[in-house]
Amino acid sequence: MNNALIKPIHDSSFWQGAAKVLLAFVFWHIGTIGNASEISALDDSALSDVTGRDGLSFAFHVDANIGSAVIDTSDFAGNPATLALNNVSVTGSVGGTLDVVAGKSGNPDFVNWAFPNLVGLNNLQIGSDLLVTANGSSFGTGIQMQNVAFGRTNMQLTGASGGGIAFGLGLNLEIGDVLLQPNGRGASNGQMDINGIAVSAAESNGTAPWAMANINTQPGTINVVTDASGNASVQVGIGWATTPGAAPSGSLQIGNITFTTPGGQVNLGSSSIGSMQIQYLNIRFKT
Amino acid sequence: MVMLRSALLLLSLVAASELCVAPAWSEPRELTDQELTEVSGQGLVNVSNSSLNGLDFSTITFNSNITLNANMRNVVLGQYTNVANNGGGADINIPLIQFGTSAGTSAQQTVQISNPYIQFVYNNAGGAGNSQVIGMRIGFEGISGNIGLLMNTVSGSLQIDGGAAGILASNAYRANNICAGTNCIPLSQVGGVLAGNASGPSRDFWISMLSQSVQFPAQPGMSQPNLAMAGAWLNWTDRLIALSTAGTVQPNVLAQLFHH
Repeated sequence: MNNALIKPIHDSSFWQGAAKVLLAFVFWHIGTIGNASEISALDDSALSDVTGRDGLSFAFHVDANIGSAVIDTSDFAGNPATLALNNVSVTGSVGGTLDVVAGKSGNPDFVNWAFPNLVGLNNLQIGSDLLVTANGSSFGTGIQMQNVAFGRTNMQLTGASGGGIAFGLGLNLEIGDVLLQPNGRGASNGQMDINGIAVSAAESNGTAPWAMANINTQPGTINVVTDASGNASVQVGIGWATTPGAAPSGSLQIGNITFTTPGGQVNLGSSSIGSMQIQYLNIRFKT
Repeated sequence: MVMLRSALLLLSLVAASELCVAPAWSEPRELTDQELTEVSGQGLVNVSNSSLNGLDFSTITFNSNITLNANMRNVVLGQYTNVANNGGGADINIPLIQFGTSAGTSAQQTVQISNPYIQFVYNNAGGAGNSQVIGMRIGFEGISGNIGLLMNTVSGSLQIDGGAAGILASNAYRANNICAGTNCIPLSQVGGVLAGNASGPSRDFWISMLSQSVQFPAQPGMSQPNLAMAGAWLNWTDRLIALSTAGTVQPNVLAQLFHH
């Protein structure tokens, strides 16, 4: 790993990269991607298929390279240390819809993001070089996340009654391979390959999102809380469901985990969690 | 700095667009240089590196306190055929894990977890271009509370105070029994554990996925753990008391209306 490549998060190249991603996001295409065809009148049959829609449909292509993202922190002895993601790259296409939806009685309206499961959309390739520098040494590995697909995922956002953000999240995620490649991205010797990762609603065979948080019945929240000593900290949580046992269940599937060693392949086979149900979660980050 | 301001302004605009449906919000504005100088990353993560027996360990710890009530079913890790000992067909086969219980007091409804971490294991002895990822482990620096369990097979190191049944221990590949001396009971009869005691939380819960056996470094305040074997491996030995040795698992069905 090349320490010279590390650039602090306040380095201008990091923000240039971030700004490119944001600009790509802001300048989305309204409607669908592809070449425009000639305008023609719709016949009655075609008209009967047209329905009114609120909000926006968008699609954009991401091809971003971000120099480095570095977190300056400390090791357990209190000495300076860094966690760096160098040479971050993200490529792929993202498409979805953005709507404002009326909340249930007494609840605020919310923004609904939905990412449909369409061929060629919502599929990303992500890479970076992880480098941990602490205790007088630097260890790291290249990381590739190949064919990251999140079609059918949806997210809802609004203001939380107690302050901060309330959210809902339906997660449907597939990752073809997570490759940890210590001799550089693309070098398979010495690698660990986590293949065929899938998160979805339990017993849906990957065809439905896992509703980890529901904006109406079991909302998630992100806010800042202050303790009795006046210390502020970020808090992320998912509240209790409104009905006993009603928190939806998700599942995790891993096709196999394989190591490429000098002595050959070591295959740990498949792994899975048949169902995961979060009834309550509160994560309070320390300051 | 101009690019930084632009990025922050764009971030503000995007965030504001998502918050516009909130009951009240303030107009976004650009941060001044003075305000920017007051922005600093907080210690959300700590990192550490160490070496032991020719292997290198790199740990990322998320500095957080987690309160959790959750249920997991059919946790199957390392499902491959082992001709010598196929056990339950997997290194770890746990049909039920419940974090918290609906059968007890309000405090017993949730489990407290502190400082979850992920640790990467490397062998860098071969020099440039010949490094290996040996595997990784995921664990908690501390966990306390009622954890309901139904275990069929565990590759790992377990030690649980079974009360009248004695100190139950297992340190084996694809074990389906746990023993106090020569007196063994099926793992499936351990219906759960109370993690932590008056001295503090249980400090050595972790699960590893490894291509070879690894001697992990000791957790703070503890001696070195048993050797972790290749495959999926569960280590949990510190401050555990069996909630049942008759296979009884406490219920855990909760909702807002029932949470007190």
